[in-house]
Amino acid sequence: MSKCSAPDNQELDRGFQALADATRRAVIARLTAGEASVAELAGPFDMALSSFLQHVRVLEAAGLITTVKKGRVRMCRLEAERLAVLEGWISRYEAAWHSRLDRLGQMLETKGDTQ
Amino acid sequence: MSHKTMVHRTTTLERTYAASPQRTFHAWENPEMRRIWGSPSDQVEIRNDAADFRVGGEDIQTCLVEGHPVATVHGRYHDIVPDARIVYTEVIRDDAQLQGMSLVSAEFIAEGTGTRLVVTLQTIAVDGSELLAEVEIGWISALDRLGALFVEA
Repeated sequence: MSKCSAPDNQELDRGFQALADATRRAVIARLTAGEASVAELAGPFDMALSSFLQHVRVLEAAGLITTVKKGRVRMCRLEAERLAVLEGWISRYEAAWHSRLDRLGQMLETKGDTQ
Repeated sequence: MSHKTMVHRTTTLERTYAASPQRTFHAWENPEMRRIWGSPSDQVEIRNDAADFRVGGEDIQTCLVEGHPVATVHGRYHDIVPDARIVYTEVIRDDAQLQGMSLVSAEFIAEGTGTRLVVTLQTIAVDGSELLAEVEIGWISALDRLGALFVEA
């Protein structure tokens, strides 16, 4: 299960980059209320559909949403688990542990061979 | 504040150090050494309020930024095998508010003259987790709907 393995840094970066844009955050916010078609999602935005589709692709590539074709309509849904992975506290906590273990390594290097 | 959200995650971190398992273990056992490497960055200073490295013993650490406390960590040791294994829990609070807790398992494995350190974090974050503001509004309904989505899929 995806929950049981930590995302690598590259995956996290992709996720954070995807959320670093107001349009894409608005899409995520809309999808928390339930799945929606690309056309429905694009509705509030004053941009060409092709530009909007690029935002959808970025979110999909980051694993934050999935899209599926239903007849002639492409439906988007939120990947809530993936979003939770990017969410603040645990990511910060784990990042702190990465730093700690690096600092431990530095300490062990500088203390020489004796205890 | 009720616990609206809870997130679980298990992560394994690995490092290889030139130091022996004895020396690496000592850096975890010694409170002063633990205080220094236990800080995530130079901006965070850790104060040891209690240090009791034995099974059942409790560590209390306060994280200070520019002298101001920003978080407390209560650790409790559950299993200690010298030079080989430490299992403990740590509970992290920001003011009085619970942020999260973790079951930390550290394995010290001899590799040549050095050590492979394997740290597994089994973490729970509760509430307070800072989702982007726009997302947070819809979070609860998203979870409510998740079950339905899985049925449909």
